[in-house]
Amino acid sequence: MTQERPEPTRRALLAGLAGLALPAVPGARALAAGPASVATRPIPASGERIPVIGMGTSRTFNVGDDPGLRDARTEVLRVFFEAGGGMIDSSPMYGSSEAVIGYGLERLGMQETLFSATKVWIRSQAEGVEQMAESRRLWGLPRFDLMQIHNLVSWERHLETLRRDKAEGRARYIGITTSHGRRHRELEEIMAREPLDFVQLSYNVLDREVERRLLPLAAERGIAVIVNRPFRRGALFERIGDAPLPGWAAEVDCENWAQILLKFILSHPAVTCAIPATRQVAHMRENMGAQIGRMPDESLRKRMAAAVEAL
Amino acid sequence: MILYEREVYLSLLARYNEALWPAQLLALLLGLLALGLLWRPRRGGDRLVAALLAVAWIWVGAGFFLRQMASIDYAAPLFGWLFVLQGLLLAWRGLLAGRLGGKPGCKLGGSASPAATRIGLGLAAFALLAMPPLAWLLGQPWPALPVFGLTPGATAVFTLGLLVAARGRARWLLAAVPIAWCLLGGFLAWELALPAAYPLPLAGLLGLAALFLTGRRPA
Ligand SMILES: NC(=O)c1ccc[n+]([C@@H]2O[C@H](COP(=O)([O-])OP(=O)(O)OC[C@H]3O[C@@H](n4cnc5c(N)ncnc54)[C@H](OP(=O)(O)O)[C@@H]3O)[C@@H](O)[C@H]2O)c1
Repeated sequence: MTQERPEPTRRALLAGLAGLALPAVPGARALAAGPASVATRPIPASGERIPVIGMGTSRTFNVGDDPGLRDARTEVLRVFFEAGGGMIDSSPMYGSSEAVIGYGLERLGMQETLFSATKVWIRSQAEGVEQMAESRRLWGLPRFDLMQIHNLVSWERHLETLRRDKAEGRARYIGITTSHGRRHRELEEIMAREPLDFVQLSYNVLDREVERRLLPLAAERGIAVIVNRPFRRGALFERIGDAPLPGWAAEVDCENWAQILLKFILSHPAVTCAIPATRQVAHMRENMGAQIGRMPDESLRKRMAAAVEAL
Repeated sequence: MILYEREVYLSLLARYNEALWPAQLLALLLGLLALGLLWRPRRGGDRLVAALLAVAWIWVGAGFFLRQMASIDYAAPLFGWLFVLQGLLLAWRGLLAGRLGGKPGCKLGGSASPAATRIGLGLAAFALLAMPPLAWLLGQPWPALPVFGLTPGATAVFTLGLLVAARGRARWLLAAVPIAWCLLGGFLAWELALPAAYPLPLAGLLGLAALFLTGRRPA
């Protein structure tokens, strides 16, 4: 087993300091203790560390104007930050998701650990500039930590804008995304040629094609990797059903299948973070648990994949 | 791929219907009037029905897709403009064809065969009278229900029914979008687990078969 180096985040340090003066309230202690043990990984381009579990928002945060559903998602967001959550990933493609994130952030107050990531998803370069400005407005942020080109759409043109935005402080990092194994060859060429900080791709215990070329290339080129569809959009849970947890789960501190699936991903050395999506507070807690404790080594990773394949 | 959940769609539909109340009653009355004119044709009745259908499609395109659904579905503007286009087609063929006489317009309410009239009436009555209570019985909470003239599925099936019972080659042109929506709507319903809309593709295929069979008779 390899032990992930727990890295105190900025917020955890603050919480830790605050904890010295806190009364012995269990909740307050948990809050102070929780994020302190969160695993983080460095962004190769800068060395800045981010928590290994982020949050996706396609579908789950696209709840329109419904006030009840917006408040329910704000609760999910609150639990995410309480557990030391960092990256939130969205896109203008996800309907009202960006507006709902903005709604939640406004109610919770800006969070120290937030690592804001969205995308540009439009053909025209000029309209892309407007779309990114609209995203900043919806989130209520002056700049994004990460701006990505969604599914390689008009990537050459947008990359030009993104480089300028990075230089002028509208985005701290830039990247490009794909999913479900689409256009991997083209992505590989872009990764090999262009200076990128991040790449986002699909990877999970059953969809492992990226292990062959893209993940090694990202490691070689010093590109941070965000993993989307860690649960195959929920299909992995349908496959697993109510299968009992394997005995080895305890060896890597997994209390449920979600943590097994996430730790499989996180234990690949090229991966920087995974961004599972959920509408449910209970699921968010399970997912955030994956950033705590031991990680599987190579032989256990093989057993993990075999166990899910056999179901 | 749908990027919103069932509960979100139902919440949006409920608030849309709430905001429009009591337009549903007016739509029901106008739908009944159209059925009545199909049953007992009157002079100028087909033009009135065409105008009614044109307004319904343009409303669903603009009010439902462009105004409401666009906030959660990136494909909604495309559907919205398609519905508006269908409304314009109905206005052009149905309204103007009567006035132009003789041209291959679409004569609504004058069917080629009694069987076609019955199938058409059946489809239109299903859309107007059965789809809302069926949706309620199958678990869609009031007022998140399909309504002819306000939501796409019921509007498509109702229109297809009237076209099946109509005459003229323009029926094919006018039936293309309703049939396409029946198929697509069925797929969306499947993805969202909304069983009340599962009959949509069946209605579309039944309408297509009826159009094909009656189309071979001299109009
Ligand atoms: N091209 C791109 O850029 C691209 C493409 C795809 C995805 N993404 C990003 O990646 C994110 C994640 O991918 P995804 O949303 O497609 O799928 P995913 O994270 O693989 O799966 C989400 C599904 O898993 C379920 N789930 C989550 N946690 C669970 C738990 N602990 N136990 C049981 N079920 C659980 C959720 O249901 P509940 O809500 O019931 O928990 C939801 O249905 C997206 O939201 C998006 O931000 C980007």
